[in-house]
Amino acid sequence: MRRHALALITVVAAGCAKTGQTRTSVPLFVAGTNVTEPVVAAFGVPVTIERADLAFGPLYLCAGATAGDLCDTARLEWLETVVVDTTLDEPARAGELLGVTGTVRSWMYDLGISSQLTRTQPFILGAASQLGAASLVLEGRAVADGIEVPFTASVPIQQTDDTELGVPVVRKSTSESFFRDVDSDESALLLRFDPSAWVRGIDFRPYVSRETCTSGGPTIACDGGLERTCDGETELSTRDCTAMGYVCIPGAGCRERLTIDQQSEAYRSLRNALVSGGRPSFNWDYVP
Amino acid sequence: MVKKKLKLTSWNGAVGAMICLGIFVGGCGSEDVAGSGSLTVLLESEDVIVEGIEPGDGTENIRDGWAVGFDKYIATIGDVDVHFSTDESLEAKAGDVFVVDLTQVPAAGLSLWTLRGLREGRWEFNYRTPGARVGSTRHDSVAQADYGEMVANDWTYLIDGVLTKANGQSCPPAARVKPGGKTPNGNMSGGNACYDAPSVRFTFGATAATSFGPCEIDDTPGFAISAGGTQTVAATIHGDHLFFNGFPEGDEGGVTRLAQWLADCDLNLDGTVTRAELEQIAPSQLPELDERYQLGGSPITPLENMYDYVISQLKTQGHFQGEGECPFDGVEHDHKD
Amino acid sequence: MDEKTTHQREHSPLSRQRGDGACCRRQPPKRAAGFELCAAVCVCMLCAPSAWAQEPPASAAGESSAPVAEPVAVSPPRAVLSTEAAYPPEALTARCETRVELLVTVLANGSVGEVSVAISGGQEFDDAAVAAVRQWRFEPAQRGERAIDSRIRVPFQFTLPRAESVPALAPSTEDAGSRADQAPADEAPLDVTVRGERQSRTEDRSVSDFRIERDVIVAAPRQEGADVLRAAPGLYIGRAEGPAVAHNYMLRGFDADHGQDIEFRVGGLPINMPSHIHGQGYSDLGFLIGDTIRELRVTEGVYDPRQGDFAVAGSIDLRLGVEDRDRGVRLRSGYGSWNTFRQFVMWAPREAPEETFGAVQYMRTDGFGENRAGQSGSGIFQHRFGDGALTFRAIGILHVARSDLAGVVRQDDVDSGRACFTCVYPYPTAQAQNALANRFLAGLFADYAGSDGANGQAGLWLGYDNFRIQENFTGFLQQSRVLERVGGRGDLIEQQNRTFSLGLTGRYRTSPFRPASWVHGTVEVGADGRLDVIHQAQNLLDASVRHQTWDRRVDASIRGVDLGVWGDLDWIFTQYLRLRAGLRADVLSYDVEDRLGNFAPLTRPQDSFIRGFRRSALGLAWGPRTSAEAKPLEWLSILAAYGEGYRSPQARLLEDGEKAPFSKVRSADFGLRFDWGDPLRLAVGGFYTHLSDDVAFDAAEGRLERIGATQRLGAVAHAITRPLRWLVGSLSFTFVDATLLEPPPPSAEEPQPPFAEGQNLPFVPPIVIRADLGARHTFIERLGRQPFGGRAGLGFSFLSPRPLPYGDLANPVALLDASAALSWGPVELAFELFNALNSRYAAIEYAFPSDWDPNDGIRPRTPARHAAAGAPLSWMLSLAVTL
Repeated sequence: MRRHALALITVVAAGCAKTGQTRTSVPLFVAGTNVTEPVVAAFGVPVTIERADLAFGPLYLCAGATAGDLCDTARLEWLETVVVDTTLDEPARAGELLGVTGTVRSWMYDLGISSQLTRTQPFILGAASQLGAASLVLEGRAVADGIEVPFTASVPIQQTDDTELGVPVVRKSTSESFFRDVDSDESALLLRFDPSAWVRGIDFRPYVSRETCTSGGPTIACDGGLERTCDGETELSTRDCTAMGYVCIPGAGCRERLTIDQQSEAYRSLRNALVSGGRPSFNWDYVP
Repeated sequence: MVKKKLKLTSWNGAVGAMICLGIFVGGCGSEDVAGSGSLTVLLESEDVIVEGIEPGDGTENIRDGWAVGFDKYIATIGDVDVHFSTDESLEAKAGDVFVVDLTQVPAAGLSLWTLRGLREGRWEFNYRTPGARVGSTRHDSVAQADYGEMVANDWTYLIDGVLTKANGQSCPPAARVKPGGKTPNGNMSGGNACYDAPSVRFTFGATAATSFGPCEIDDTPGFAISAGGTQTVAATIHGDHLFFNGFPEGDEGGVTRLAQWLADCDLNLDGTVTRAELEQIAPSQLPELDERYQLGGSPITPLENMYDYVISQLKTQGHFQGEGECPFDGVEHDHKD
Repeated sequence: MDEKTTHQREHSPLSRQRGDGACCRRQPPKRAAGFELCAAVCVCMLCAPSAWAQEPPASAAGESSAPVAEPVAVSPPRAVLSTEAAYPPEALTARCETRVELLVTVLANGSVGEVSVAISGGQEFDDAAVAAVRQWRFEPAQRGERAIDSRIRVPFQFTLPRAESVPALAPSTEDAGSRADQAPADEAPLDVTVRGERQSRTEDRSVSDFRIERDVIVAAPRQEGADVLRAAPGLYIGRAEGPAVAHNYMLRGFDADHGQDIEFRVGGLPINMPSHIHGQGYSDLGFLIGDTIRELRVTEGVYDPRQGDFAVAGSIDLRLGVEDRDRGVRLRSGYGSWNTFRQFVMWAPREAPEETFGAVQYMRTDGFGENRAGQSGSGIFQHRFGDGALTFRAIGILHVARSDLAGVVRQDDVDSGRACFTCVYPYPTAQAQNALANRFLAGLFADYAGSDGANGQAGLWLGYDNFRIQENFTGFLQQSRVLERVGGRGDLIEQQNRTFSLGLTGRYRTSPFRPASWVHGTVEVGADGRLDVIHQAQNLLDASVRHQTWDRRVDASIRGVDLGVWGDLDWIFTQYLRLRAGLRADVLSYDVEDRLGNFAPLTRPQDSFIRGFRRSALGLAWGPRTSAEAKPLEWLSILAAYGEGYRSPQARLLEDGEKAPFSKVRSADFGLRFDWGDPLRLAVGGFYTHLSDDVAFDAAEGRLERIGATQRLGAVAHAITRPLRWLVGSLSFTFVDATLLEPPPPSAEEPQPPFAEGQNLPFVPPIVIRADLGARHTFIERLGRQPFGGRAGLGFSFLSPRPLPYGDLANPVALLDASAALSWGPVELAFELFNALNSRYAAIEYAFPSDWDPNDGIRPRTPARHAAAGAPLSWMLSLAVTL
């Protein structure tokens, strides 16, 4: 009773009341991983990553164990996008996660391209448009069979007409542990990306070959850095791509660099790695 | 004013007593002497397990022309755990785990678990699909040999089905295929040669231990018990998630069903896709898994091979009362297995 | 000398034991119709002095109280100074002639001692007679040479047309029927006195039982009839959704939404609609016409067995009638801010009883801000007829309203300037919000008053309601469940509800039973039954394409039956203690035909089953309703009460056979009541309510969600003062601490809902303060043969900052309304100002996620604060003529 009498007085004075959850904000930082040594991709092919810019955002942290359609109301969210240089170790401030306190058990995010129920085409958000309507721009050099292949890949990650509209693409899996009781004085949340995880699964071997003209073979064959134009077994012409500073891509010939085609296995590997492979690590103990 | 002496006659006393009794009875009689009831839990299998999936253009059809039929769809399921919704400490369990062939489950479901003495009110519902080694009971629909194999390997599922399509073909990844004398039919699929395959069987056991719950249907969590009554709920296992183009959480309305990827996993072109074959193929090696697929919500990451993919899809198949959703592998109900 | 006993008596036609049969006006029951004309209960019991003084019930032949010890000559007392009783002016227009008989104790010193009413002629007449006789002086009765106390019977005959009273003195030893000498019939000057209610409130069961009389009700200006509710202590009403949608009510720590926790009755007709799709217990009081409201009775808590379904925080009963000074034919037209026009017509014949009248009103407005234009019309007709012990009351109410709605705006959009506070979002899906309401209610009540004090009532009523609303709170978040891959067309939710209701009510209270001299009591039994047939539907509409329906969410029919039975014992022990113990049981049954139940989404083969899910549920809720009142002093009452009630569920959410779907309400009250007459009446007390299973509105889901057990602990103080004849004021202060006792149930989206011990319930204002001040005065008695006078009023409401979900705190709300009027004879010109301080406040606030920017590619998912603006400063000028 006395407690209530005092409560009465304080309430009269300030009219305040206690509630379970409060609004809070948590500073959000993003960082990459310094890739000093070449990453070993499929079949032992070393790959040097020169550029790995990721369009990241928006990000939602949810109360339930599985995000997605069961996260209509999120605990915390960050609604912007940012280009993350995932080859750099140094954390950069992306913004503030805004929301309320409480436990979070799952997360979901888009990679710069979101889908909404209001239309079937995706929305290219700020960071993705900076990257030329792509979620990831990857550049590097792979050395396969002694031949160096500079490559570039531009990967948009988005929901399509066939897939779930209105839900972020990447969601926490049960293989990952994620739990935090968010209170009102969290220091910061740091997301660290590791581009080597995306590259590891790519098979670069199909992009080098040592071939001569054979009957029934391709019109343009590569013999290391040498481009052979064939007509069946007959070699019509050759070009030294290496001397021009180029690389010979089987089936395509001399190119400045390999552009990983959307229909190729390498592209699928990269895409799968981005959504169901290389997830960022979440660090709540980061103090900026 | 003249006051009369209060004579406490016996009648006055009786009246007084009646009043006091009335208030007393009213006061304590109205205490919640809550009744209790029972819960019957059924196991249901989705129509497609029993009837198969037809090809077509409708939302529930396989869009790329394949028909699917299941000969065996054995699942390990049980460990029903219910909690009173406003009092977590009030709990009841039906710990029996059964190994059941879902193709043999009647339309009305199999009544496998009963919980009695549940307090009147609303309860939450949880259950598991563990590995068979946990101490399971073989249901009559399952052959002893299959059961033995499941226990030995600690499998959650043992599935045996067949894909059929009149002009079906199988286009396994060129890097892995062992054609063994078969001749390609001249079509190509993303750089892989295709072979005629009007019928492709798939058979594998899978360890996909998952806990489901708290389940809800139509946005209403759990179920209600009424005093003296028996409520019936069903744990429903879906069977077509293998053919989804993603991992939709919740509403499955936006899903497209495609089966070609499975036909493309027959590496030795013997007409049967086995677990060993699935384990050898990375998702990127299947051109079928193109932008029509969205794998970002996979329960297992990373998806290193197609067996991981199968397990991921199997982990999402536990539902409640037909289409009700159950979040899986939530922290609270992690009975670590 | 028991002055109080005279005033305590219930005055109703039932109590009257008339000598002649000529009575005219049916004395209107002073209690709200819904709680019934009561009972002779009080009448006879409190007519007690005779009992307490150990007198046998008044017999035809008055007996002297003087014990006759020896056969000595006894002479009766003789009046030496007598005053005529003034004919009460309020009764003049009713042209009543009646007779009052008083039992007067003449003390040995010749002065008047105890006075009690043996035969009542009506409250005013009784009072007039008592007031007169108190001034009489006698030669006392004598036994031999000794002066003794004696008791005599004094009849007063009030006759017309000369508005004089003719007191007659009948010595007690004679037959009461005969008359002795008659004093000369003098002309008694008309004494115009404004008399307030003097009765003690014997129907009150707890300190939180408030009776607000008309002078307090009309003190503050009101924009519509329902605004009279603001005078109820602790009640906050907000009009967040325009004139065609019910108010939002908050009472005693309960967020009653559109009426789920308050049982409303108007003229005995139940107003709450069970299982209404827009809110459980939906009560739209938009049909009320302020001029026809006679009294507002607010029974907070559940201590009266007559309180039935929806009485969780309490009950509000409006008694309709037009008092004398307002009777006649009245026309009023008003014009005000935002092109608001009102027209009112009332017909209340002066000769007819207070309860007989007809009134019609029409309102149209452009509304403040955007999308708030509306029109409404209503008519209320009531008639009291019949004679003798059995009288009847017929009532009919008809209402129609339609208005556009502005919905809610996000607080962050208002802060950033993207939307203005009183604006609506610039999309068709927001601009197409509107609502339509139709209601018809009719009832016939029979009131019985036996000569032995027994009384009863029976009633039959029926109603038909039609409601349709289009509202969009969340923007563009929804997806169709019926159509494949259809979504994002705007969340314009259409709700339709049609209810046909029929009900019967009846109760009977016995005549007082007197087992001993110091105790007497009555027993009441009653029953209340109703049948509701409800059809409801909820769809999603695409406002950009001619309101195409793109999703179906609800399509259901519900048949509900509610049968309530109660018994009540009412016992008085001496004059100091009163105990009431009652029991009420309600059986509620619901038959739900849910045509979209078992609605499998697109993934199931549609031909393998037939859609639809029918279910039924029946449950019993019962509990005691007890109260005790001790009256150690005449002006002090100590009241304590305890009761148990229930809250019925939204039928569609029940499962088949769910037997105990009710939340149990346990309520207790304790307090003091001080009655110093007109200068001050004060009630102070504390209350506690526990709810076993509470629900809270979840705007994202658009429905009520369970949140676990809750409790409310609070205090209330209410004072009414009439310090001067022309001034009335009332002040109330209510404090509540409403807390959640256990965490809400887990769900798939929220498996471990956050919970802090002692966490406050959101939306409930901790402090509610209300002040009403009214003055009415005649400046010049005769200005060209008509009186010239005026009135002024002030109404002030204050709400302390309310906790909102997620730690937000709403701003405090302070609203001041003021009015001034001048009247000259039958004409009155009034000017009213509402929200005179021009407070910017939100009529209602929520927290939920919404997306009002469909083209930016971003979907916000965290709960944001949304508000529906409250009306800014407005004025109204009206002209009334009463013929």
